[in-house]
Order: sequence, then structure tokens, then C-alpha cells
Amino acid sequence: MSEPNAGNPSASPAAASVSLPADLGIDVAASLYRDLLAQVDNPGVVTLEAQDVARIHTAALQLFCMFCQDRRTAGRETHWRQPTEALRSAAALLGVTTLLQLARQEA
Amino acid sequence: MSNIDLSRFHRAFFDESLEGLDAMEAALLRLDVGQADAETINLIFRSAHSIKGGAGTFGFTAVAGFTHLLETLLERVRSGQRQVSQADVDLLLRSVDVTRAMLRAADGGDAADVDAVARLGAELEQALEMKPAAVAPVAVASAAAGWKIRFLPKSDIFASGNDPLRILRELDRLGQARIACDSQALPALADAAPETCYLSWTVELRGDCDEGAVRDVFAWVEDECELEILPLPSAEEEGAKDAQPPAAGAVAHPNPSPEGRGAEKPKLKVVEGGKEPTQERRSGDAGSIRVGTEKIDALINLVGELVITQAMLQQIAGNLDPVQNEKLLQGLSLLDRNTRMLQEAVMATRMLPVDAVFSRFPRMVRDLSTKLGKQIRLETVGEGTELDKGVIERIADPLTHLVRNSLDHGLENAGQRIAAGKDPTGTITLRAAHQGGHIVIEVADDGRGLDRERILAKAAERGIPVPANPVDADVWQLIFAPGFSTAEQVTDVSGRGVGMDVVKKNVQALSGQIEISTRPGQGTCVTIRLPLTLAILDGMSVRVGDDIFIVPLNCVVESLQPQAGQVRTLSAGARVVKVRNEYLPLAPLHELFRIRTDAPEPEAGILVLLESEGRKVAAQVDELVGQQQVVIKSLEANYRRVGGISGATILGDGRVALILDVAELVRGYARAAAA
Repeated sequence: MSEPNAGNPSASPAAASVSLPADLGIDVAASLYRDLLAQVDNPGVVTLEAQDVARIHTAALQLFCMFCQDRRTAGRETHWRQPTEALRSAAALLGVTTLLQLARQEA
Repeated sequence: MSNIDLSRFHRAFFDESLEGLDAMEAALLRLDVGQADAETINLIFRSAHSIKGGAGTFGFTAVAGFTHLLETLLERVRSGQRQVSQADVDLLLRSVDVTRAMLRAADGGDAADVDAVARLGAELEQALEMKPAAVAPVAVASAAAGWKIRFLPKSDIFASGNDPLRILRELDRLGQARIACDSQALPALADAAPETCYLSWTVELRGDCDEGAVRDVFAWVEDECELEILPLPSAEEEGAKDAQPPAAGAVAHPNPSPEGRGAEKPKLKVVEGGKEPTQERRSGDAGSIRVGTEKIDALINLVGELVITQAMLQQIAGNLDPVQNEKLLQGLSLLDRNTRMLQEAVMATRMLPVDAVFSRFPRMVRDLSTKLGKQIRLETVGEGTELDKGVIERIADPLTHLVRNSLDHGLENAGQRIAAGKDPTGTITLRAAHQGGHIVIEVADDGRGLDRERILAKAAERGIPVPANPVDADVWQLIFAPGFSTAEQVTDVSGRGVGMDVVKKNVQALSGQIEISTRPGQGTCVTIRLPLTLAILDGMSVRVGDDIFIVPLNCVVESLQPQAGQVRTLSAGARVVKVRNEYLPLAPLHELFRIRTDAPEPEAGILVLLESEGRKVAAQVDELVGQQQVVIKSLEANYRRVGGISGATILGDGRVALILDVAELVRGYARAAAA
């Protein structure tokens, strides 16, 4: 699991990104959880860097659901960067595209 | 053709195709560039051709399109129009990887990496300098009434190795699936457990599949979910007809529309060169047939029952007069022999050569040695050694980790090796052999060996407890501590040093043991000892009150009768027993399982010291009854999950004995001690 990159100098001071690895299997759920938990209360925009995601387990998608839901409830913004077809189709199959705000984001 | 339910042949197609890819990979690795022999090229070509044919027949158009490119390239090599180059071998090896990933995606295990497929497809086309081939799909879809499916996975479904995504993907393949997710139960992220499932789904599946087909999708998770399948009220839906013919190399998305609504489900047939592809498929070895593992497991189960029945008869026969019942006793003894032979024969059908997992390493070593800039030779010994399919599947990941570790940390680079007066090419040896009722697998390297001082320093730095005056074996065991890593740099080859603890946990989960031996400057050898099968357990039977429990023998350290004063009560009411210089938590089984016993005090009973995951606990029982092999029955499948119990077995007298889950027992006491 890549480290969250919290120091993007070009964005607002609190903006951060979480780089997602290619393989989001059940074995990385714990580390993904830690990375997301570290950013869930971030008041700035958090970008999920999803350009490498090739394989994904329901556990990982469920963590994204909770992350997006918590942030939306708190009025915080979350973006996806270049979500791959693998991620999109998995989200579609699980019926969580709307929950993850994946349908309208093409960042 | 449309009247035949092809889906029942899918399993065989996937199995055969993956085997074909393995054969293709092995042949590519031994291919001598510049002097490629016709037989090897033919073998590679045939594999690609068979996969393409099968994929076309079963409607996996993306796989068919991709392997068509592969086949065309290979055909040119085969016919002598093209000289095979190292670049071609690399391209073909990467194509093998992509085809494997596509097959797994089609099989529902993973999501297909469409970008990788498109990229490699373009490379293949470039290599061929050709226009996209004609892959003409013909739509023959029709939709009928369907099913409303309510799927509520249990919270621990992930832990059982199941992924709802795979199940929904399979459902989606049966027809037009409209999938709605119920996320009401989702907690706040901070309150969530990452490996607990909180979601559930309602699926409206329209299509002409029967209820059995829908139930089959859930066959593996029957016990892991609540499931409701109801017929949909109306049947007037008209099936989608027109499928846009995709270009060759284009990929069929697992679910093209974001919400899964109205997704077309055309059954696709590939028409290529006017040949019926199935006729070209090899049927495997003439002397073998492919049988589903569930059928074999059912057979093993029945034989297990037979063994139990036979043992019961034997026990009863012990009371008969041997003179008056001579013929009956002779018959029983024959039954005993035949039953055991039958059991061995049936067990043997689940056995696979360990080569099934060893064969993945030549490729891995080739790729990683290039990446790491090291010269490495891989030697395998005893790859014909057989062990249970279930064990093979579960040992693959730990072995991969060990080989990666050897490659990355164990072996030096050529310069360092020459400086140390060694052969510049390092050797990794994988060795498998039977020893008694076990299989022993070794992963050995002739690298730098483990460094005692560095390990101790690292353990101190990481705050890992080290025994006083540790002997070498204690030091090597520190490597299995969670989070331990001595690598100077974290690399993407062997990861972040989280792993050896997982390797040990996985091996122990298979009732196995793992040991390390090492000599500085000469290398390291990791030895894994595993039972041959997971269906039978070597156990120690112990009595608690009127009940018999089975303790897995590999967890038993020793047993003793405690003396007065050896057991102490702590302030919280918990008791510990002092064994030599160690205080171990006392686990009175009669209290844990609420059993009436006539000897409640530890001094009146026997303590069995059990070890799991490096921790020990003293289980208090009334009596040691004996040692025996038991046939493991799932308690969850036949009753329900019970804490502290991993399964059950039936004893010779027909009574049920519960098998102790030592890992859970030890963990429970460790948690209590930490609290």
C-alpha cells in the first residue's frame, strides 16, 4: 500500500491524495483501512489516485464506500483520479457507483 | 448449439486453458532463441490455438480475440515466415500473463485489466503489422422471466476466502442483472473492521436460467450468507438483440453500464476461418478424466464414514467369542484391510504433484533476477512428490514469499559473490520429499545467510522481545515476528518486511511447522513440514468429564500433572501455571465448555501444554486417553460454528468428539492477558 501523499504543494494546504496500488485484494484491506482512516477527517479535498487499480476485492470497495460516505456526511470533498475500468466495473457490479460518486467523475 | 447449456463445461475450459498457459510458459522459458525446435514451437502454438477455440465456443470473445493475435504470430513462426527473437519470447510471455488474467477475469476471480489487454494487443498487432482480425460475434440472446435474489452475506464472509464481487459477477453472466446494494448497515469508517462485510444486495436477474443455475452461483457461500431466491412476476421482457461487433482485441467489459442496468447479454460465437474450434481441442491425457473436486470430497467423506462404521464394528467384535465367531471375525478383518486400502486410494485421487506449485517459480526467478540485476539459477528436486490439492493451493503463497525473500535478501549480486569467492550465479533450490506421514518442502539458497547481530539489533530497534542469552534458533525465530525486516531498503520484490509472520501463520493454519537453518556466508534453508492431507488429523484424545476432545498433535508440547504450588491465582482471578521458568495461562477446559467434572482442581487433573503462533497455554483435562488419526468433519456444515472448536470427528464407539481450535484458545488467553 502506498503512503498517503499529504504534501501536494499545488493544491490547498490541507489537500491530500491516497495512492492506490494495482492489487486491492483482501490482504491489503488492513493497510488500505489505515491509509483511508488517516485521511477521512482531512478537511481539504482528498484525491484517490486510482489509475493503477487492476484487481479489487469487495472489502476494499466497501472501505471506499465508508470513506466517501463519512466525508460526504461531513461536507468534505473526495475525488477519484483516473479510476480504471477494473474499478468502475467492480463498483457497478456491487451497485455502489453512486455511493462512490464514480459515475460523474472523470478527473 | 444454443440449446446446449455450455456453462457446465466452463470449469473444464478454464482448467484446461490455464494448464495450456502453464505448458506454454514452460516451453517459452526453455525455447532456445535462434535455434527454436519445431516441437516446442508446435506445443506453444497448440496451447494458444486450443484456448482460442475454447474461448470462441464459450463466448469469451475478448479472450478469443486476444489469443487469435497470439496464434497468428505463432503460426508465422511455425511456418518459418518469422524467426523467433528474444523480444518475441518476452512479448509472448507477457501475452501468457495477460491471457491468464483474462481467463481468471472471465472465471470471475478478478477484474480484467482492460488497459493491459489493449496495450499488449496493440504490441502484438505491431509485431504482426496487420489489421485487426475479423472476430465476428453473432448475437443470439433472448430474455425470459427471471429471479429476484436477496443476498445477505454473513459479516465474516471475507475471512472464509469468498468475495461477493465474484458471486455478483457470476450472476451477472447468467442474464441481465439489476444489482441494488443495501449500504444501510455501513458503520462510520472509524468504527469499521476492514475485513468485515456490512453490505448486502438485491439482484433482479432477467434471463432464461433456471433456479438451479442461480443456486449454483452461491454453492460456495451457502453457509456464509442468507439467501432468498424468488421468481420475478412478469416474463414479457424482450431480450436485447443487437450487440455491436467489437474490433479484435477489444475487450468485453464485465459489466458495461455503470449501474448494470439494461446490459446486453449476447451469447457470442466467434467465426474464424470456418473451422469448428472444439474439434481442435485436445482432450488432455488419454488416460485421465477431469472430475470436480466436490465429487472427490463427497467420496472422501463417504469413505470417512465407512472407516468410522468399520471401527465401530471392530470395537463390538472385540467382545465376541473368537472361536464361535471365527468366520465373522475373519470377514471383519478383511473389511478392515479393504477399508483402509479404499481410504488410501480415494485420498490419492486428491493428490497432485508439488510441481503444480513449483512450476510457477522458473518464470518468477527469471523476471525477478533481471529486475534485481542478479544471476540466479533455480533448481527443483522432488517435484513429483504428491500432496493434497487443498494443501498445494494454500502453500503456494507462502512458498512464493520465501522464494522472493531468497532472491531479494538472501542472494548477493554477482560482484559481492565473486568478492566472497563464490560462483557469481546464485542458486535457489526447491526440494520436496515425503517423510513419514508428512511432506517436507525446503527453500534453500547459497547466499549470505542470516546475520545474527543484525537480527538482534533490528529486534531491539523494533521493540520485539528477545529471550535472555538467545541461542541461534531463538534468533532466527525473531524473523517470524510481525513487522520484522532487516532489508536496508524496502523493495517491491519482497515488500515491506511484513510477511514472514504471515508465512508462519499460513503454514501453521495447515497444521504444519516451519524452521530455519542458516550458515553465515553459505546460505539459508527454510524447511516447511506439512501433513499430506487436511482431511485427516493426528490427534491426542483427552477426557473432560464424560466428553472426549481431540487436540491436534502438532500443537501439543508436553503434558504434566501439576504439583501443589505450581498453579497460582492472579488478582483478576485468572490462573497461571509455572512450568520450569515460564508462567503459562491455565485453561480449564471444563470451565470453558461448561462440563461437569469430578476433578475441578488443576492438581487433580492433567495439564496439556499447547502451542500456537509462538504462544503457549496449559489446557486442563481429566485424563489423556490416547493418540489416534481422526477424520475431520465440519461442525459449521453440520451444526454451527462453536468458539474454541475447529471441527468434530466420530469416535470408534459412535460418539462425537470435538476438535480443539488451539490457535483460537491461545489467542483468547493472550487477549485476556493483554487486557
